[in-house]
Amino acid sequence: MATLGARITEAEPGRVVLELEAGPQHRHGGGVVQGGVITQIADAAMGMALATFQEDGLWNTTIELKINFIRPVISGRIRAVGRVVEMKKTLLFSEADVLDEQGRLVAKASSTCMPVPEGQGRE
Amino acid sequence: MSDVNAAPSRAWAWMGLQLVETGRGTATVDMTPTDDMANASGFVHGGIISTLADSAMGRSVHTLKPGVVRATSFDLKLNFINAAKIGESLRAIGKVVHAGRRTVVTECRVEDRNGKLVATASGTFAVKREKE
Repeated sequence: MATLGARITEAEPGRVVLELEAGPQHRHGGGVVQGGVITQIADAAMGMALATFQEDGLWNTTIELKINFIRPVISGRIRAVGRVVEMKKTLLFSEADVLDEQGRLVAKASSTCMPVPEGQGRE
Repeated sequence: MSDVNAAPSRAWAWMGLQLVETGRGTATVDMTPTDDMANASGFVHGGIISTLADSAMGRSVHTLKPGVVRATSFDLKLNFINAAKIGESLRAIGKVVHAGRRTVVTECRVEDRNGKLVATASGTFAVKREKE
């Protein structure tokens, strides 16, 4: 998260927003922000959204993730909005929208996570 | 043919899929799983739920303007969240997330008759559009 330059800008139960100022370090040879960067902020936003509903001392780790890249982004503030879909005992389901500075949909992700003791699966 | 209310296909008839409602970029499809659709645990088989979700998302693509002549899913992903019971109706609400010229990204929510979440899905379709 720190390496990437992303930060938490909103957090409420079941919903966490991360923001990233996209710069040349995030772009690949094609001149647009690399998919892995977008995936990472989406994954982090989803994991944190789930954590807001978990008991103290528990965190989660991603066991499955899918993403659709919908429009390219070159620069500006990218927002990943992570939301909880459903919390089960052993599986946690979440989704995220990644938006550009104009609020347009850049990517849509969903993930399944597994609860783990805090300290595991955490950056 | 881009009529969203077109006659159901053989598969739709066989599965008992019913188009309940369409809007711009949305479609709702209902079905009641029969005894033949049970998995080894006695609940509705995931493949049946996948077909239902794919069908609702496909219908939602056909509501777009300019009209869609053909929509073929080339990516389909589901999360099965709660088990569904045989004999209890299921509802799939398909929604277009992004409508491109050649590809359309959709999502879907499958609920039981009490509105409980059974599955979430996403699908990506290759489309052929009518000339504007």
